[in-house]
Amino acid sequence: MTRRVLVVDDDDAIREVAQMALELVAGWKVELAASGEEALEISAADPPDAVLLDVMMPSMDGPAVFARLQADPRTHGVPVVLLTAKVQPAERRRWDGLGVAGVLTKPFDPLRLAEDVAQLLGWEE
Amino acid sequence: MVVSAKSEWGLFRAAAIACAVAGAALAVFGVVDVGSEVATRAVADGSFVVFSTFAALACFRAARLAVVRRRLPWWLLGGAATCYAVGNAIWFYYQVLSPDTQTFPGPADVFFVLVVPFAVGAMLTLPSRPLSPAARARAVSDGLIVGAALLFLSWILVVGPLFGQLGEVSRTYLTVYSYYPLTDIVVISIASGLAVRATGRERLPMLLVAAGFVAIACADTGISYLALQGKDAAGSGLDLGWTFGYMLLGLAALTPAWNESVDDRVDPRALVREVLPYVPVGIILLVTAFEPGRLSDKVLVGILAAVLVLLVIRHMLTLADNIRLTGGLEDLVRERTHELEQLTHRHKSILDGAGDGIVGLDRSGQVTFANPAAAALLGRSGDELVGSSFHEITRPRGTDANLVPVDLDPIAAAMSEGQARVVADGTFHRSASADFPVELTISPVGGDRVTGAVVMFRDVTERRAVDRMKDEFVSVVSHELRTPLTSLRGALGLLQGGLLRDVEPKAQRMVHIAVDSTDRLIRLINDILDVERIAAGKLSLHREMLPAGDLLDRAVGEMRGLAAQNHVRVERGVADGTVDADADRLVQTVANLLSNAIKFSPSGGTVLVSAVERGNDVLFSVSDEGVGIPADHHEAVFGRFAQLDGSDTREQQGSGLGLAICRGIVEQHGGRIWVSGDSVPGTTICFTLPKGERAAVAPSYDDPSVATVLVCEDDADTRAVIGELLAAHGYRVVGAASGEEALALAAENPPDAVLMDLTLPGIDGWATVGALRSLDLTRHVPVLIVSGTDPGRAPVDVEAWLTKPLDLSGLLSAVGAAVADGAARPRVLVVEDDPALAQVLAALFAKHGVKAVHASTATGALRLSRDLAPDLLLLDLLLPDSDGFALVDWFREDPRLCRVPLVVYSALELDDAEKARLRLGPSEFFTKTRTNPEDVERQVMELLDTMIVGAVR
Repeated sequence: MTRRVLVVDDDDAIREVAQMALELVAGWKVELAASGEEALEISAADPPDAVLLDVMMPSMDGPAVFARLQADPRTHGVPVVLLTAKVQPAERRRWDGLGVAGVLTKPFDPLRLAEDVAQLLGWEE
Repeated sequence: MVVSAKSEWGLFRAAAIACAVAGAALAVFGVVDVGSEVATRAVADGSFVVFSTFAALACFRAARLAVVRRRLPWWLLGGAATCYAVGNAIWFYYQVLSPDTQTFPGPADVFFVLVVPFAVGAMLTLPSRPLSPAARARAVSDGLIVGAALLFLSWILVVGPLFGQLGEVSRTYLTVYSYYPLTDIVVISIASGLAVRATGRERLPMLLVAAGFVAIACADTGISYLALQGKDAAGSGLDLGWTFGYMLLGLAALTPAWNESVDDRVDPRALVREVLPYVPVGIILLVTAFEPGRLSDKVLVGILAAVLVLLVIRHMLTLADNIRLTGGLEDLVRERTHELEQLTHRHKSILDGAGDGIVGLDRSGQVTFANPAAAALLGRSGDELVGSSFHEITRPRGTDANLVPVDLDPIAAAMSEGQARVVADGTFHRSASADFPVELTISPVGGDRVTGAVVMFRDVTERRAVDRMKDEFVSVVSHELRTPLTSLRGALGLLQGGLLRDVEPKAQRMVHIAVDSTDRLIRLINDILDVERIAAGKLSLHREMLPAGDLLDRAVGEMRGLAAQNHVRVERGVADGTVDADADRLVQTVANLLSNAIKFSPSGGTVLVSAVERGNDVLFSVSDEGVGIPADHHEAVFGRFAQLDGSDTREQQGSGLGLAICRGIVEQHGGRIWVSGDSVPGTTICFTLPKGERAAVAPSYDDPSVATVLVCEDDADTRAVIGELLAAHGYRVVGAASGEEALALAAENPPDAVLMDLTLPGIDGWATVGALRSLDLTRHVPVLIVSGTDPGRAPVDVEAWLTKPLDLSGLLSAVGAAVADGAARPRVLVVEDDPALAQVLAALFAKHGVKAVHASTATGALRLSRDLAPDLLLLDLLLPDSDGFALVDWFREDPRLCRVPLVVYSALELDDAEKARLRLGPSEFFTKTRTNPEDVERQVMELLDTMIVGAVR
């Protein structure tokens, strides 16, 4: 069964590239959300297999979205991978305790994105 | 012109020998009465002419050879000798060739008379040390005194009686024939006076001159004597006197010129010289004393009077000389004092005008001087500063924003090590105002035995602000740059990956170039960010114990792809040792070095990486077989944007910052990195890191089971002894030298026990204890009193009373008991910015014996929680410097604190998502409007009780 992944990022271009990369390389079905609120709506309606979640977003940031996802029983178990442009290890360690499956850095290599995500999620692709 | 020593004296020796031979011949000739009287006279008179001419020629030669300054005396002496020669020639003519026409006095006598001024002039100018006019006058007066005394004696013995006998002799006759001996006496006196004063090589010529004139004087006197008696002296042995005299003058002129500088040291014979003139005077006086009858002779009285006058004159000359010297000295002293005052004034202007604060401290840290800038910066007057303890006035804080205890003050450390220090990130307190960031330079003074220090400090508030802005800018910009780069990289990567429709080869090539360039740009941004952080010293390192082997394996793994691509083999050699370092950064460093090595290796080459233990370090090395780095670039390659030359950059595609970053990382770990000189051909880069061996001595800050004891004792030695004892038993010791310091330190970090000396400067021990009891934070801290007397009154309860001299085992058990007591009390960290509410809560908890530790900011809470692991966190979410969420995130990050029960007491209504974010250990959420403090108290106690029962601390 084809995996369904929700990509959440406020930047249009990044959304599109990420979608391309995951669909072309791994053959996953990718849905897009431009904000935290949108992401929550979409996931509540039909929980995806995983969420690729940008950290820096205007109204609700990645961790906040994650918290909400965890809080909602419908989306509680959905694994989340954070995507961030911040590279400072100190800042990244802050999210270690959150309970996300992993953190990936921007910019990413589009050809390896699917593999990295799969590795973090423990999917065998 | 340098003449060799041998030839210098050679001429002299030859002349001396010649003179001796001639003299001997003449003497023999005189004794053996050979030939006629005319012949004898001719020989004698002829020898006069010959030798006086010889003397004149020698003197003129000396004058020509001498340094300009010394020519005059020889000219003058030469002049004297010439007069002798001419006179003798005339004499010869009359005596030998035309004896009948000779008159007396004759033309020869004119010349003989002229000799005297020349001779005296020569004497006065002969000494090479430029005599001051006073000294010259003294030399002359000494000469005159001696001469007068000699005259006195000779008058008594010889001349007086003679004159008495010769009543009818003509006055002219008498005058002329007494003129010669008298003037000779004068010349001899001066000559001998100067000869005695002469030193070194001057002495010989002066003695010869003096001796020459003595010989001439003897001959003159003898002739006068005989003439006055009516006898003719020609042909007698007296002739030899003149001959010898001329010979000696000539030899004096032939002594090698002395051009060396005159020895200016005080002549030990100076005393002899001063006393000498008094000897003949003494003799005169003795004679007068024994034969007072002589005084009736007018001549003798005249001479005696003259001698006395000369003595007086001499004394006045000496006096005048002394006055001149003293005056000169006083002038000198005045001048020097004025110069010194000017210098001091200038220094003071420099200090006053300096913009930085400059203070001088003595060995014990007390201020000895402070310039106006220092006073202004610290908000005090200069008078207040001098004499006070610099540490107490400035209340320095370190990078962790905690007060630095006096024992750990870098100023004290610098003085005890004798080494200058720079503290770049300190904080001082401005009186009646806030703290301000400082940069200080500490320079100990006194050389080996340090007597104090000069501390220069400046307010760097603005610089810190600028640094912060720069950091923020770099961080924000690098983050902003990454966002468009992400899509750029992504789009290009997809194009290149061939997943979209196949692109034709030329377009493919273009895309390839674009992808590579984008990658380079990304690397460059990463590197720039790293470099900036390294330069600012803000590279945050997360250190842990890492086996070198693991590090190398990870780095090699990351580089596997690149190695395969370049057909280079990477070999991991021996890997010993463990280092205490940041894993990611170290792997980054080794990977960077490997990447360089791979890129610069020839195809098919091998890159070797290894790690060995070496002393206290672990030595890592990465070697390749490439082109190598020339010796003069060994340092430069570690600079920013250093590429060897432009030619191979396209192949290498480095950012030029890699080695600079490696150096920054290595050095921040306390290691060194360098290019090793011995692998030729190829390059080996080595770096060292200190071995990771945690010192097992001091208990670390992070261990929550370690108790902190605050030792308040003003005597530094006692404090050190107690501190060492407690530290050796596993306590963390904080020292305070005064009550005020103890209060400040305790208020920042409440200790588990306080050892309080009663006698303190400033507020005394009791007052301090009272103050501690009045602060919520420290109310429950057990206090042990240390005192010299037995328990008297005890207004507040104390845990224990220890008397001096301290029984150390008793001290240990008392501290142990006190700490154990305190440890049993649970601690609640109350993070609440409303002070009134905080007090209420603290009081409520105090009822249950719970220690409430209060922080009003998130930063303060962080600081406190580091040293004092709380058992429960009571948190308001709206704090001045943060929201509570960030604080909770921080807590979650710390393994000690992530399971702490959390009670949120906030004005905010929280929804589930927010509550989810605030998870630590068991958590409760209360809203201020809905729940009152007492209910909170109840809940907290319940939580604590459940926690204590099942707790694992």
